[in-house]
Amino acid sequence: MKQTQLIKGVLEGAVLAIIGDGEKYGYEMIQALRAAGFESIVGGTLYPLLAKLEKNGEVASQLRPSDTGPDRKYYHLTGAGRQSLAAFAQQWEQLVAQVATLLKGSLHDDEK
Amino acid sequence: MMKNDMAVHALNQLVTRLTPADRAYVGDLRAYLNGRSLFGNAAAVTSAVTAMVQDLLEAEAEGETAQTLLGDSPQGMARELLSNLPRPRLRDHLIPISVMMAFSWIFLLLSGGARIDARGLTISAAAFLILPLVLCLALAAAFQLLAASVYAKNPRLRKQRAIAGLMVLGVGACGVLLWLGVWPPQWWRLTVPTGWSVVLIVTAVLVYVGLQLWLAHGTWTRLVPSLGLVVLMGWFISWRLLSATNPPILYPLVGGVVTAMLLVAFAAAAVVARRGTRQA
Repeated sequence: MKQTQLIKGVLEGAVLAIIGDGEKYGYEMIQALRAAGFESIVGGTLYPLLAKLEKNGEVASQLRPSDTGPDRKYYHLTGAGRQSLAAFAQQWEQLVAQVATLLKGSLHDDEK
Repeated sequence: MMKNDMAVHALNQLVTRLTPADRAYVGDLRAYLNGRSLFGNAAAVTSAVTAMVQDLLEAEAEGETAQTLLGDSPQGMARELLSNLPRPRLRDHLIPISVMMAFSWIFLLLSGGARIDARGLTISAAAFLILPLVLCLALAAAFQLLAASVYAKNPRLRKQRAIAGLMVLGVGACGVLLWLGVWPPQWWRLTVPTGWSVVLIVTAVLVYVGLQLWLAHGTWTRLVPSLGLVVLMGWFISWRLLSATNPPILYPLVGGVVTAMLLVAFAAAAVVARRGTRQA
């Protein structure tokens, strides 16, 4: 399975987690994703995702003054976004445990 | 509309600070987004692109380019973005459509309507309905063609499509204007008596001047030739209307009064617009 398909499944949760850490603008999120190992993530994926999250009411944006020109758009989690993040975290832990069990079983069979 | 114009101006300022290659990338992206969302939520598109350009400027300082930051598929990104931006409010559709309707009606009126005679000004109400509709459709079609040409794989096809798009708009609009001017529809005609028709013409010119100044947001000096032309057209049509029913001696008097009124209104509107610019 290509890594890109796996990433697509978790990117939304990852972005919510990054924003949940504190208010951020787009480039800060890209830098945080790359620092966490998501090196292939580009703005072409992130910006539409942010628009989708804002449309769904999971994040909200606010303009803050910027030294370098027009006000800058910062994103923060809404109540619905916090709920989505909590649900994602729970599903992720469950999934990790389930996949780990399967892989352990499969690798054990290979060793035999 | 004014708020978005200020936002577009700020965005244009930001774009000039990009590298030439990134400026071209963002320029194509904007052309595609604007073309695909002609009567859509222009403010949301401007806001989204401004955020991207601000991030790109920061990324450029760290050695990145538009391609490394935004990716190699700007068309895909633009499509995804447009599908997730807030839906435009009815007002966002109505304002540009209303402005287009107002301009087309004013020019239909100032072209003399269907007939000028002793009774007054006969206008074809059917023409007033058909022209704005055709202009809106032609404009939408041309913008869609231009948007489609932005990321055309063959560069020659790109230029040809853009030219074809502009020709569609130009030929379509000229064709409709010609048809409505020379062979206006015979059904649903209204005759406005001479006195009221002059009032209508003067009002139309004032509305046109006011609209242009409102849209210009203070940068009105470049509009002087076109506004002057419209004032002249209004004067000429008023003179034709009055000459159909009144003795010749009244022409210069009434024409002069009408012209003076229009010039005063124009000057007043210019002063108001200039004050508005200073306050901004």
